[in-house]
Amino acid sequence: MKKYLCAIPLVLLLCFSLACQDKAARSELEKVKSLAQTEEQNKAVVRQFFEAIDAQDYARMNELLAADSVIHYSGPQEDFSTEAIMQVIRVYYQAFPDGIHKFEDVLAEGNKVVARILWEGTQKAEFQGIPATGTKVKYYQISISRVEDGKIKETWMVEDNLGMMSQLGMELKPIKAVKK
Amino acid sequence: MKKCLCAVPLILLICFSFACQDKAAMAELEKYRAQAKLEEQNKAQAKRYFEGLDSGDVEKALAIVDEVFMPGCITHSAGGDLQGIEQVKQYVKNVFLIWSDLHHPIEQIMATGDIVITRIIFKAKQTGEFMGIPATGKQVSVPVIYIYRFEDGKVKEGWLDWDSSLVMMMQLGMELKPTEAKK
Repeated sequence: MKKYLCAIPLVLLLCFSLACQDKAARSELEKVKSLAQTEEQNKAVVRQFFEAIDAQDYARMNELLAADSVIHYSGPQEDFSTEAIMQVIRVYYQAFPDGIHKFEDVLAEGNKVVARILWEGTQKAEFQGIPATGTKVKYYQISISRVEDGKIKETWMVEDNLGMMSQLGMELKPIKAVKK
Repeated sequence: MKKCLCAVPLILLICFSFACQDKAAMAELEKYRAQAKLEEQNKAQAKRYFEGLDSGDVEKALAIVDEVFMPGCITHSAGGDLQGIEQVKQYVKNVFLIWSDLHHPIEQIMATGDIVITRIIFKAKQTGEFMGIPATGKQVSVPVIYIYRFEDGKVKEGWLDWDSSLVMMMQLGMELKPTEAKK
């Protein structure tokens, strides 16, 4: 009889330790699920930002882009502030009023969202010294955005500018040396 | 005495039911952990490709391509698609013909599901002809973003994007001019 009574505390101890282990696992699972939810929200923020650009909705763009955000392009002098990028966007959409970002892929990991985009637009007005060609251009962009509290804080953007410019009738030539 | 003994089965029943509930949760967690492990493996594979290019040894780089890419892989870029591993290897051989002092520092690397994304800086010296430009000996430094989709630990499909106009305009002495009308 006594032997069985001694076994009971042991069994209860076992059960409690199993329950505790699972508590840790359960909280880990909660963390994972919460992160997955944040990633989906962040993807929506990035999608909506590009959609706002296409709609030329500057109020919405300002809601989704942090006031102090930075956009990095490919060159060392190519870091744009929120204000500066809005201006760039204005110039682009004046020349390409039907500009549209087509999402090929939108991915997220943690607070980063990656968007592979096909941008299309028709050149209806002068752009970077090129008179309106009426050409429909399309080129690829890949952006990486860091999203915090529902706003885009930092973006790294690469885009096939050469592809776009050659569609507008430009090509690369060696820089001619300036004769003194 | 007997009252305490009756309580024991009840306690055991409660403990078991908790264990069963958590079994479903545990299975889900195991799935996430397995996925996280796979993502780390895929990231390591993606890194190896760039390490191969940076080794300065074309044979080593080609051997690594065999380890990282699937035979039937396809890579999309503005310059065209590379279909199959032989075209990837030809591309790597061309890289070694055009560029020296290759260095691909990885600025960012992310993984989600079967996809790995890397943003690297392509740094090299132009010692061979590139897109019609004779060797300049100039250094270039330009960001490139790669998206790789993995299957069974190897790259099945990839996309890369970069601003090639910047490489050439700012760094290799070219400028954009209107295409001359052909007479």
